[in-house]
Amino acid sequence: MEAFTVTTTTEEETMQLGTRLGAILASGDVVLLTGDLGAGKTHFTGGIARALEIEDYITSPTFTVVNEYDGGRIPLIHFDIYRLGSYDELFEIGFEDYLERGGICVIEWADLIPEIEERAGRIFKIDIRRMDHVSPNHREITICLPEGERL
Amino acid sequence: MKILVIDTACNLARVALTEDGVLRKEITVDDKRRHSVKLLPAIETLLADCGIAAKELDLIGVTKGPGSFTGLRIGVVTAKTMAYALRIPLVGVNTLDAIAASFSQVDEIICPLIDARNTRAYGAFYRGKERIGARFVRPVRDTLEAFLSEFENETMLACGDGTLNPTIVEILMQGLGARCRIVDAADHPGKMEDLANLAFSIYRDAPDKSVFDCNAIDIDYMKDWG
Repeated sequence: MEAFTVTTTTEEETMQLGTRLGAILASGDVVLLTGDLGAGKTHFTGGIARALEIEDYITSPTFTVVNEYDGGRIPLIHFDIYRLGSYDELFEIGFEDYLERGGICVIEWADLIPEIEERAGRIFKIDIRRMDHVSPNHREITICLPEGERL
Repeated sequence: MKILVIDTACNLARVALTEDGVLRKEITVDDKRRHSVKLLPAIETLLADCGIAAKELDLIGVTKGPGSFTGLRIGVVTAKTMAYALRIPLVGVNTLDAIAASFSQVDEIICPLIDARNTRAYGAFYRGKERIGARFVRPVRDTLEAFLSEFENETMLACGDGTLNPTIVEILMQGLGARCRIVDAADHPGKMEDLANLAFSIYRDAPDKSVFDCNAIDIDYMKDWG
């Protein structure tokens, strides 16, 4: 997996990057979304949703753990696993059934459960870091695409 | 003996009633997303069509894994609740054993395979009614290699919903060629009558019947992590 880095200067730019990614995502793909607290993982996901023509407002799944959006071209399943302790707990909310559903799974804080990467299929990795030394709105976004993909 | 059997482990859900070892009726629910809605009405219809009241049932059998996370829960919870209300024994049957039971009369080594994503599958080897070795979940290529090394000169009969996955079928055909007979799960998903008879024989042969208390059943996902 080749990685490259992009800098965004506004929330809207972060969302647009999400939209560019959303345009190339296919059924069954998994996006591992990592980064600082408040870095914009949910905004980025909102950008993906736009590409999928989902009209709903994307909200943080911090408390729900998973939100499902069925109104777009492909179902979007948005996870925040910050509150889960193990792959077992993730399994017990039906994660493997979600993977089989044919939607796109976007998982915030994916780095907390390493088994996800081994068990998912085609993986895209997005890491969003704050750049507070530059400005509160700057973000450094590192993207890893699977073999053969380009943004 | 009147036995109700429930199988919701894979995409095709089925319920059936047998009486003294013979199938009376079977109903299938093929829309996986509607299993939770359609299972109980299917059971109601099944009993009504057979002219049997639920309280006449003697035993309930259910596939308890491996299989779909949600699917298994729907079947097991339904079976457990009915067994609790009716105060009758509940026999959980491993899904792989249930599939193999329908093919126990063949000469080949029976290999039921249940898709576990990413070209992995749950499976086991059986000769007739006996399982050979432990049940496993692993890449299909590993299962192929194991078969090649353990069963020289023998033929495999592959069954179960793994046969609906073209990648799995290709791996088996490339590795075994004419030594593999694929029984497409769409044509032969396994017979509910065999599941019922297997459930009954498990019950009959157990020295301690308390293991069939409805609270004793556990779903066996055959988890392969942690």
